[in-house]
Amino acid sequence: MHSSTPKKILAVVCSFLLSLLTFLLLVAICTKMTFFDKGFYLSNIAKTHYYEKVTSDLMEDFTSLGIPGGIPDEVFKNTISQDDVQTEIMACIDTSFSGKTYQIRSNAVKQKLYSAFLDYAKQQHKREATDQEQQALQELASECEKVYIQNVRFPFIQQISGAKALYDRFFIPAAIILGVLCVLLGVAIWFTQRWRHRAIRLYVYAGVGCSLTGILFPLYMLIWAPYKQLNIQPPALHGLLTSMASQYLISLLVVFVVVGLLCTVLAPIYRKLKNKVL
Amino acid sequence: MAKKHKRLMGFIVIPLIFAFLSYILLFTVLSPMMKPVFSIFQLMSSEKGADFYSLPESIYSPSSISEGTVSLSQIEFPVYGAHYASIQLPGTDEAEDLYFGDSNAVLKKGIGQYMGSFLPGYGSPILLSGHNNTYFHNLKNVKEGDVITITTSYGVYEYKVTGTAIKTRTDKTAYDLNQQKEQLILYTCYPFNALGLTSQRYFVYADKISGPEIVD
Repeated sequence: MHSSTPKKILAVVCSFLLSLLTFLLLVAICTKMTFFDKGFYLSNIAKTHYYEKVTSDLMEDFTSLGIPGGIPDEVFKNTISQDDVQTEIMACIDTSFSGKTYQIRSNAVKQKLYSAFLDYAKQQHKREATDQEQQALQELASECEKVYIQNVRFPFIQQISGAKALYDRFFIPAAIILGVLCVLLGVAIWFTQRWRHRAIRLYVYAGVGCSLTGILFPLYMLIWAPYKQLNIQPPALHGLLTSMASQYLISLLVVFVVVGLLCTVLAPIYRKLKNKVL
Repeated sequence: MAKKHKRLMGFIVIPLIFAFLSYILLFTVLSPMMKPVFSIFQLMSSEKGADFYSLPESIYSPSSISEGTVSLSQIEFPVYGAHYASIQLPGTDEAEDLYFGDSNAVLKKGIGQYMGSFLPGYGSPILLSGHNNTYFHNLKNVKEGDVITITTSYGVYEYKVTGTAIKTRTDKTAYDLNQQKEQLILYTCYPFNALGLTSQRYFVYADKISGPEIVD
């Protein structure tokens, strides 16, 4: 066996490790800038008209309760507005991202609706509601409160904020370690190669390998979109989560395509160095 | 030239091998976490994808058969939310749509059947509900001896009213879905013009008097 063969194998292994570690580092950075960033949520909420859809779904559900309760749609529309829903959801996201638990202000909504129901009853019967009617309207307001919570709550936000806290704690040390390892591998490749064009070739292998690793999975997920088949309720939340998943996958795709393209910059350098040798 | 071609292929093949090996390594490391994620994903997803807005197609096409038997294999069983029959209450000019299922969405469109009860012709109880200020607003006028007609795609069924009752919504004695006779049970909120969610329900009970029997 030629004495340079183990060296060649070692160089290729270093190139592979460089590819893998660069991939992990870029995925970590991308995840930090998307799923663990409040701005990412807010931009997707705006993009999917989330507040508008939640308010619409909420009114639809209120109407379903209003029919058996004898309360018309206008009573609900005059009591809860899109601005109220927006304020609630934004407060939930802000509080959760600052590490605290958010309590939905459903009791205030319940009291507001109950007062509106009593006013409507007084308007209809031209008298105050009887005890039995008040109890029935209280029951309706309680059901409306449950519906409000179901529509307005942001599921998984507490888990996301918990994961974010953990991620933030380990992200910088992990990023530093990965970065240092990548640099060390790069340096090792550079100084173990007799000819510089071979080192460049190994960097290109690592870069294109990293790019392919990072492109294939997001591309598959974006084309087949299995996450769109998840039966998540309510519909507005389904739209928001699929939009966030798509945007995350597109971010990964863009990052790794750029990495792949950067490797093409190395090609003329590689040729120049090789020609020098020849 | 061949060497150049070989070099060029190397820039494609080796990175592909790197990508493949990376996926193998990541799969090996992450597979203990991936299995529960896949299980949850399978539980939460459907083949056609989430569809919140389209409704099942109506399978209703009125039949005129009012006696004899009908084979089970000839019946198209309705899916949840499907319009499968019509129901005519005494004292009303038009029949109302009858749906399989009793969700809020269904009750907005017509009368809903509780999924745990049976279809007409099975010889078992049928439980129907509707809002007292829409499709069942006339239920208060139904009295003993009146006839209720349900028309399905496989037969026309008539039920004679045997009684009415006012019960609380949690009263388990209001009806018996295990009884061995075909009883039609209709219910709605009570009082009829009340505001809010009341705790009482108005029941109408009727026994089958005609219609084809479903056989295996």
